[in-house]
Amino acid sequence: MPGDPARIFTRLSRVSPSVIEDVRREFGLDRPLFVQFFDYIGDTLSGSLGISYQFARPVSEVIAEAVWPTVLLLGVATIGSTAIGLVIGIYGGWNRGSRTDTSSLGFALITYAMPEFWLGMLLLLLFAVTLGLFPTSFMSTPGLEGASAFARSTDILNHLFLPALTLILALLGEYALIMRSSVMEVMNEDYVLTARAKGMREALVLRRHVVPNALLPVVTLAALNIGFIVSGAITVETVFSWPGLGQLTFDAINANDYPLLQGLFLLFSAAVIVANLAADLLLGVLDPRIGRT
Amino acid sequence: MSSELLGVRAVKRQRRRRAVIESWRVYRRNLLGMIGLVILVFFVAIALLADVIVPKERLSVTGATGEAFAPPSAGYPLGTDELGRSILDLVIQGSQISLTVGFIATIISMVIGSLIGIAAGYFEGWTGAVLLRLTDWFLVIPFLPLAIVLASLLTPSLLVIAFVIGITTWPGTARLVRAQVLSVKQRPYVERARALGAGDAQIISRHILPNVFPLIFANTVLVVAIAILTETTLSFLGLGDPFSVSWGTMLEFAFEAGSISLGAWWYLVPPGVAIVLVVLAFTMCGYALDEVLDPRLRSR
Amino acid sequence: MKRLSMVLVAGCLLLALVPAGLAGAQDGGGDEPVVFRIGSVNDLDSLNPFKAVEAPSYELFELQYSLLVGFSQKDLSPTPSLAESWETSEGGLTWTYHLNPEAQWHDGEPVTSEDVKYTYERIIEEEQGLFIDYLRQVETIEAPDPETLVITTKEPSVQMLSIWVPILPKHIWENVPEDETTSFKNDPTIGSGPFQAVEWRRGQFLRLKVNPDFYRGAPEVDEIIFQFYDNPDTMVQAFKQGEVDYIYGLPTRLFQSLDGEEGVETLSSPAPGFTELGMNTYEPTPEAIDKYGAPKTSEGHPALLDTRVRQAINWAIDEAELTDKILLGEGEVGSTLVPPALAKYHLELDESQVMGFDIDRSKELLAEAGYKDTDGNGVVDKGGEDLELRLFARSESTDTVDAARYIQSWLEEAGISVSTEAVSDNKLTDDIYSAEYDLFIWGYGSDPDPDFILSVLTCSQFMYWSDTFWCDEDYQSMYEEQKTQLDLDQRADTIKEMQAIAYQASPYVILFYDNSLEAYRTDKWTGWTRQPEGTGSVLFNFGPYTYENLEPVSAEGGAAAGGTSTGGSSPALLIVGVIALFIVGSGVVAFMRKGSREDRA
Repeated sequence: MPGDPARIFTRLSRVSPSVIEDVRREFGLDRPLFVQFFDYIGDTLSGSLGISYQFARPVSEVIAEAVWPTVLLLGVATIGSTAIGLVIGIYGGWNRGSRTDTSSLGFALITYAMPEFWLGMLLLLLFAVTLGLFPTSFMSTPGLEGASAFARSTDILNHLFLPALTLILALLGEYALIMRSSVMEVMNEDYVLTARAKGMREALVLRRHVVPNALLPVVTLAALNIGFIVSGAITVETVFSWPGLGQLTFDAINANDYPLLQGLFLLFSAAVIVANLAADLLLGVLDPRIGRT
Repeated sequence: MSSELLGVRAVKRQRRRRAVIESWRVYRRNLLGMIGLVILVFFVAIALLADVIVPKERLSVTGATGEAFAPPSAGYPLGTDELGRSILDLVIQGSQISLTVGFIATIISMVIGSLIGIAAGYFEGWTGAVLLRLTDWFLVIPFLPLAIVLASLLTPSLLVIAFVIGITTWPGTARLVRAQVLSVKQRPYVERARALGAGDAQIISRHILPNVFPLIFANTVLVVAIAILTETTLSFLGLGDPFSVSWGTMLEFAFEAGSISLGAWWYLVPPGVAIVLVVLAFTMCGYALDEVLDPRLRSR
Repeated sequence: MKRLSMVLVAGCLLLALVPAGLAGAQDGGGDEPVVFRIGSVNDLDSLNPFKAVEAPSYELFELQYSLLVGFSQKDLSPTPSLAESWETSEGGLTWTYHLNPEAQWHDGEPVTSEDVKYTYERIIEEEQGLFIDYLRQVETIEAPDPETLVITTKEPSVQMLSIWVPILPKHIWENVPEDETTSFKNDPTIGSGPFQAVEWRRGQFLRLKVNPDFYRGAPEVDEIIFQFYDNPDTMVQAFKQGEVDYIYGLPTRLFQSLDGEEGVETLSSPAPGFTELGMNTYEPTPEAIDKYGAPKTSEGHPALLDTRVRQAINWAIDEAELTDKILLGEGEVGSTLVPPALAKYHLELDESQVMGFDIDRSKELLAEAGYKDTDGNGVVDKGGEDLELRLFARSESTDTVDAARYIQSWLEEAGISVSTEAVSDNKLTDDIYSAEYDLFIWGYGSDPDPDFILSVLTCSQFMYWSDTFWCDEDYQSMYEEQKTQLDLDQRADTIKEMQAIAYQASPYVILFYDNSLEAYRTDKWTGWTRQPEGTGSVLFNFGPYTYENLEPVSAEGGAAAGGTSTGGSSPALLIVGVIALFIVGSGVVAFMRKGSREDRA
């Protein structure tokens, strides 16, 4: 934890052995490791993720509270980055070698190489601290509970802006790159060449033949990326104190809250698996070749 | 008999050398790749010479001469940190740890990835199947949370961090290598060798390995980039070793010391820029290598 | 064309939203409750006093419950709280307390002596770790009538007026079985203090409502909100923007950056605590193993058993430099065990006694102990082995990491090779109890009474609060003696002598006494009250005085304090709108242009 507890605590700054013993007993840590392990497997299978050390509440409850802020942040970030990334990628692929293409390619490479939390810190420093345009932390202003729905959603939007922008910038490079090469590949396909040879309008070719086919790999990528996005969320939420799963992970690390860490880890893994399945299904719908067989 | 064999070997060696020269010729024409290479050479040189450029004493807190949190000045071109040490010195020294962790992690990752990839591709039956499942399982697990769980269980040190990164990044490599092995395995000369009675070990070392090696090499370059980024992230989350100066721990200290509120951009920007440059360089080299190894990509 | 018009419509809609967003919601005023907001980087860990160890929890208990006898605002001397008055028999074995008849629980039940008796007895029976040390001397507790409480002690005791135990309602806690004492959620929380916790959202906020029937009179503040932040940086930003009225526990530099901010007061006050370098002096003895359950072997370096080596380490550490560089002067240079904040008991050393910073002196002492650099490698050795020590810092605290860097570098100058490692508090605790360490850096906080902080270095605290396994017979017997010295001046003399012994033996090198750093808004609130008077902190001390005295600066100020600025303007809306318009617009334009170019060709 930032800040020194020894300085914050005016009284007992440590946990005494008897308290540690109590905690051990309470959480069943006094039993042999393998018993704990099988208990854990058993509990997990029966849907119980255990009790968080620091919150003294069921892990599932603690996680459930933090899910929606993360879904909101990642949802906006994913939609934003795919949309912008696709536009840049399509444009670049279609107009390969143009100045816009080269500069967007460079931009994509640079953002890919950036630790997203660093980008977040820079944006925070620039927009929130120096210019004072945005709030620095949280999802809403404390004390707004009684305000109108409009004021509250504006407030959330205000808080969402910087973390979402950070993630969008961090992610969009990759989408742009994939879309660009995907478009270029599709443009060499026979049906596209044929369509162009037939004198079909370029815009129409792009819309009807190129984009739908080029989208396929991006769908897979978006699904595979969930794991990567989650990683980004952990650090970006930490920088912006966004009350979601990433922040929770950071807290769990600092508090050595292993049940909570395990629970989060399970959830992240499950999310990635589900996303992969969803991508497979979606591909079946999008790609006529898969649909037919 | 033996002279004939020698001749064959010499021819082989010559052919390989020619292939390497040819690859370099192609690589050299790749602008991105060359820029990346120059940046890399620059940073590796700095890392190797770090102790010469910045004697260790200059990083000792008791020897720190500067005022704490001073903005850039003539004496301290990039300003100072919270203990009055030169940020430039720290960035230079940090290159050592960041690159070392990156390389060690990559070696671990490549060794595991290649071994499992080759085994999974080469051995049919349940060995291959089990290894493939294992790879898939690791591939699906989001690797940063896994790395976090592992790192938080262990006491932070350089090797631990490298180890954690290594054992969480190998599945991608394994997947790639396996695919390549599968295709190499079907080539006529492998079948011929087998028909002539060559054992598994011989086939793998003589035929499979040389053919997947270029792929492993190209992949290594990309994995280093990932490893360096991961080291930064883990350190930032407080899972690194705070006593060793790396770009990641610098960012953590900058964040914790309140650089954002204090507007101390000179503490935040340099380590980040160094990370971006190195990762970018590795990525560019990786793309360039891909093109060298896969002629179909060259036209792009 | 149809598409373009749709885009335009959407864009206009977005733009129409912007002014509304910029105007924001500027409601406020009226009959809003007076809300006081505290920013904290630490969350509570529990609402249950038997479980909680984090500072915000203690601050809550200060507001939520009453002690039997309080600590005065002026100088921490005993002051009426639940007990209006008290007297002690000749010889100090019997203590009689008279309770305030007005006191009642938040649920309306009266507070009686039975409640106090129940609370104390439960702690004694269950040996509740966090509080038992305050009550060990208690022999019997009686409640002859609802307003009278009589306690007899085994020996004369000075501690009977400084028992930091929140009094709990019997009618709630008697339904909590013994095995659930520490796991009980205690929600809703019923106490007898000036405020009551009504809502706690972990990691977000804690809301307290005023107790209108408080026996000392209801405070002016209607609501207190503890707002939890994940890092001090964002907390300071929120404070500057007026989102919270008070913040504490700041990194020094951030604290100092608030100096001169308009409408803000920064306060750096001595806190009763210190940060120390601890050494493993464990020598396994049958007594330690059987009686206290200490480990059978020590993994500490044997050199640390030699007082001269420990003193050499003390001489090699520049406490003044550490205070200057790490605390940036916001604290006092470390020396003896009882912090200067407890002025009556703190031992101020003579110039001649101080083990200052002298590397040569350090080397001499090492040589006396047989450690010399015979092989010329810069590290002292004995019997062919270099003196190498491990130094643990806390990964949770950058201050201890920084201090470790300095100490490592000084000790190496003196010829001791040091390897530093940052470990979690959990791991450090485990390492200490299994005696697998050489040196570590950690801190302690003291009660207003010095008994606790003195106990830390006693043998009887092995496997308990002792983290050095230091055991000295004289110190131990004087510790027992000071407990029974009713003449406070005599007690102070004994305690000072104990500190001199401990300082010479150096199981601890006290590095510095950290100040508590607070910042608060004086443009919105008056009534900030320091405890002790003139030197102490305004909050996070030993009594709810500031909370009871706080008043909004003016009528308008009250409204401002009540409804904080609601983040009115929304540049986010504006920027999102513009970007959306730009992207969609340029996409459409690109399509159309391409189309027309194609048509022309």
